[in-house]
Amino acid sequence: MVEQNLKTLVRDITIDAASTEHAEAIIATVKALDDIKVLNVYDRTFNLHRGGKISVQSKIPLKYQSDLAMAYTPGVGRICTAIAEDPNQVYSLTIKSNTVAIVTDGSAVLGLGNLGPAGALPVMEGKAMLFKEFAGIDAFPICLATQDTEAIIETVKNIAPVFGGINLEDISAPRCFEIEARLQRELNIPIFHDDQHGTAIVTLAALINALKLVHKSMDQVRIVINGAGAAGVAIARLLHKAGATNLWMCDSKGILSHRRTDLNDQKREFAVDASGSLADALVGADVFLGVSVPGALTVEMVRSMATDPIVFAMANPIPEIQPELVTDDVAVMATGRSDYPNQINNVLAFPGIFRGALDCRAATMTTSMYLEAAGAIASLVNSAELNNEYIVPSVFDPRVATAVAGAVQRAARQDGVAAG
Amino acid sequence: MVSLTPNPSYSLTIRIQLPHQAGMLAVVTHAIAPPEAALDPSTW
Repeated sequence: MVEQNLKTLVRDITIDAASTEHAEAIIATVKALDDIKVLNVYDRTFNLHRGGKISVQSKIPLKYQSDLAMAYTPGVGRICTAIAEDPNQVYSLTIKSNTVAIVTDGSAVLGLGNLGPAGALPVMEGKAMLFKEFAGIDAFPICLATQDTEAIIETVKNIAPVFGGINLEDISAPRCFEIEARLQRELNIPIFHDDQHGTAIVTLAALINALKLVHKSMDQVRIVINGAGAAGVAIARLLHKAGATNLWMCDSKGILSHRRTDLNDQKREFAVDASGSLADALVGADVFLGVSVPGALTVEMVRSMATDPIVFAMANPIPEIQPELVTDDVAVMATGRSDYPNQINNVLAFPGIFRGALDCRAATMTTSMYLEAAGAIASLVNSAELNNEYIVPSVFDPRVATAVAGAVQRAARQDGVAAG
Repeated sequence: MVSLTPNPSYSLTIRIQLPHQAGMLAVVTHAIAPPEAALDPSTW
């Protein structure tokens, strides 16, 4: 209720629609009503983004001359000199130890494609919010006006002095693999491509628990991954390290087969003797992991899988199959969406990953850190709670980032990459 | 592909003026109902 008088009432009604077209249909319906006057219509999502979503705040007040003299000139000069003489002190005397750069070239923004750097900025701002809210990390969006691999690598190396870690985001495959690998080799701060490893870690966590439910083991199941981009390749690599031995990957042309001549290095890594379509791959498979496109999976394909099939339809925002279509056919279903059970969401991983890496000043990210992170996420769902609608903790479970950070630190120390 | 469920991504607020008479809000909610939108009761 906004206001009222004897004759009229003014009310705000908030409505969730299913699409832009649906929203327009609702507005038209209300406008067509007799005696009802539409005074205004607000798109709540656009309103939320106006002016941007984050800002920089000072930690200390600047009220007196003495504050200025210490925080800025001339006092700051003493700090600069101390760091120049002992570069290690940059970690204790500046923002570096708690600051992450979120770097993108805007070439693969969500599932929307190559939107460029400005088009990517709202996502990077949102990511910065998540870093702050879930792990207390100050992250800043860096959207680069280049999609050249060498230029990206050079730019990130040049800005690295400010940051304790680099989160690569929404950079298209296969360039993302080289950019990450080169930066990790050439810099002494952790580099993490969230689209690859964040997705892989949470997928592994969910799969660990899903397999417990169906009483199958990682080394015995046949897993089909649909989508051979950044996320698909990273999932395959991490599952392999976690003990999966029977992995088939598919791209838009079908199974990554030794017979194919169109595979890049990353795809060739997972080529198998079998060939055919996704439908062929799924016959008798135990697990479907989708990081592909809406509608790629059909009811018939699910019904051709082994008993108690596990289906993770993670294409976002529209999954590979509408979960309702196979409710009675699957043992466990997960999606990337918040409005279905079992949301496979990277936010379960990356805040804790960086919290742990920054706190122990890890010089690099290692596979053990990812495996331990996945194990930590999975372990937060205890055996009494575990059911087919609860295989991963909620993204709002306050234990998650702490548990992941602890696991990551332990792994970093065991791997000898921790400095602090 | 079945259409997606209503979700906050496409959330809108409509400010309406209606006669101060019993049942008018119901007229609005009834009219919106067929498109299967989800109304947020906390904001009425």
